[in-house]
Amino acid sequence: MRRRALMEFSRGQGIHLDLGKMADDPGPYTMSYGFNLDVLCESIRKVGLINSPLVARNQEGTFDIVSGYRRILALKALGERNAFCHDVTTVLASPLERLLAAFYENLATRKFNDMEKAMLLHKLQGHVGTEEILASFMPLLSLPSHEGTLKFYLKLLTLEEGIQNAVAVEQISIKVAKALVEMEEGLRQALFHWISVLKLNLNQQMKFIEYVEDIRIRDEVTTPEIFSDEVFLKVLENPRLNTPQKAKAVLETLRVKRFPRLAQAQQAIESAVSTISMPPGASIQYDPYLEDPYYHLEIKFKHGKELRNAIDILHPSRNLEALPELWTEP
Amino acid sequence: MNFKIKKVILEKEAQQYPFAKRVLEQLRSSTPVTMDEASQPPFVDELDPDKSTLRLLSFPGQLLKPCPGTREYLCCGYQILNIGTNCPLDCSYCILQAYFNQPCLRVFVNVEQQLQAIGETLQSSEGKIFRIGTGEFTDSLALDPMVKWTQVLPSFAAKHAKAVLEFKTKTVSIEGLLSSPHRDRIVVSWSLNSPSIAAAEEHGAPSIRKRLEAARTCQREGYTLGFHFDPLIEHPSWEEEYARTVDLLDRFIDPSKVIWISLGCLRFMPSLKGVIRKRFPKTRILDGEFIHGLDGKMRYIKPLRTEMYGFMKEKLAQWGFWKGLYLCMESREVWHKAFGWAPEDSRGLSNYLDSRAGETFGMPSPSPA
Repeated sequence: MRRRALMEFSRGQGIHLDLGKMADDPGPYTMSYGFNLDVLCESIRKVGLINSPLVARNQEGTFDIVSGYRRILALKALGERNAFCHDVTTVLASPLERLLAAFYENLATRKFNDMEKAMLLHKLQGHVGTEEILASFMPLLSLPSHEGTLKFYLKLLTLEEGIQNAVAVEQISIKVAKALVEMEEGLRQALFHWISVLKLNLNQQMKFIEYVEDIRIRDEVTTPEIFSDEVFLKVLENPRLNTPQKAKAVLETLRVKRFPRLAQAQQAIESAVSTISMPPGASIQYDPYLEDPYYHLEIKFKHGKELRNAIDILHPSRNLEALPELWTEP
Repeated sequence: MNFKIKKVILEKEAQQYPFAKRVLEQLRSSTPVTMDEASQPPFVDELDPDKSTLRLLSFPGQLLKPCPGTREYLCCGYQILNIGTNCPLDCSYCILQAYFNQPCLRVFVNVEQQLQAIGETLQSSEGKIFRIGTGEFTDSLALDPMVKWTQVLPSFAAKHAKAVLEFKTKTVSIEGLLSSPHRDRIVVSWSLNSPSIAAAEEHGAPSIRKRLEAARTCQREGYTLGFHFDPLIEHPSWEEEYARTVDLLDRFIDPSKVIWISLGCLRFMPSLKGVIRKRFPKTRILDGEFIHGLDGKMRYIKPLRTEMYGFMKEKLAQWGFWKGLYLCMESREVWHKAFGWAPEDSRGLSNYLDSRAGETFGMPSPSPA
């Protein structure tokens, strides 16, 4: 960006723009996605528009927004017909200069969400070589200068709108998005539907996808076929379960399907342990994967008398001897 | 084998080594050579390990290192001679896919200089057998027709009475070995699997039958053999499938001249799963029930591992092999359940294999565990 051009932003020619002639999309330069206009509308309503948007004339003779896309949408939402803007067609003569002006203005004032990063990288591709994007722009976006990462971000723009929105507001993690972009559309939509319905948290999302994928590939079935099992229907329709409980129940059902032998063995151990009356402050622990052959007994006590009491409670328990070796299959 | 080196990169500091010059002489007529000033190759794309580029470089660290093992499972006390990394074969389960962050087939051309120092270490150590292998980070023989490791390494073993050198391979590239005059304290080992796993998952590797034909040739030429069923993979009819491989062993190999056979069920770092899914979407090797092992790696549930090892032990015993059978990175509990005995600890396992080496090659060795 030429320093001169930066200095002359404010001297761009002032114009009153007919908002009715402005498109609702962000155009070639701006990169806002997944935002809420409420606060901005409220601000404009109270104190008016403090900073004028920058616009540049395009080949069709209309104006593209260089900076202030959200402000213009807010003005439209407030029913304004005109907006005072600065026309920077001359001072920012090339599309790259306009794009960079928009980018650096945002960079200095806010964080980009992942969809906005994707939009910017995509737009930069039209003007800048891949090597420069990797070396100069990805670090500014806090992304590794790695071609694979660049490709992934560009692929985000091919996702369906609902998923893009979820990425923008971090309803799904970037790790999950990585898994989703590689899937065919039907499968992706099905998984996203379940993630949304169950409101899975970021950790649960990855587990969910992994279980479903593993089962789907192992059993050679489709995702709808997996969820056609009435166990899932019962969970969803259970009025006594709230959404987080339903999410847990669905995940547990998937886990049992994915690891049938492990789940059965775990259940057998769990029921054997639960029959033992444990003194207060005492617990029996074991490796959840039953790989470590040893149980661990933990007793918390403040003094010897408490320890003696705990041992006295445990000692006569006949169920102790019924504890099976870890990994005795029922 | 079906691979071709399309490009050779010679790093600047590697140019002085005779090993590099010999490799270049071998390849120059058929392969473009690039002189590379940079010692660091570009970041690897995990989905494209670039197996058609051979990078010749000097390795700055120690080439001989003990197998890292983990304290949770019994380790055999193997010494890894790191002659190169990555492999032209493309097995779907290969841990190297997640292990190294550098692309290309990398060959360390300062191996002869390092061997000198390694030899001195061996000589100064007291009464120990060093079981040394080159097949951990690459296939021991896959690149041998080009880089001629077999012209360098057997003579090292011949000079050092405490060394047992193992070439571990899935290939049939045995010409170099056959033309070497050395046999003593050299083990040629083949990595085996079921015929269907070999066909579906060991991309670029010869069939089990071809491997065993090559093994038979080596055995007839006086080499001591070893075999490694690692990874054992649960797959449909795995019992019948692995029995087929043992049947082939029976047809081609004399078990009395096999020094050791290792068994190890599929295990991998969790990060490998995603790479496997992306690189080999049709693979079935991830279908089993994997848990997080005590060492953090994914491995099959305990009863399945026990069952597979027990089955293999029985089949191999029927063939006539029982001395020198061991488990790679397993717990004492699994050893006991599968074999009916277990070494006391990793040292015990190491002693057991040292004894086997001593017995085979007439070396002084500790008493078996």
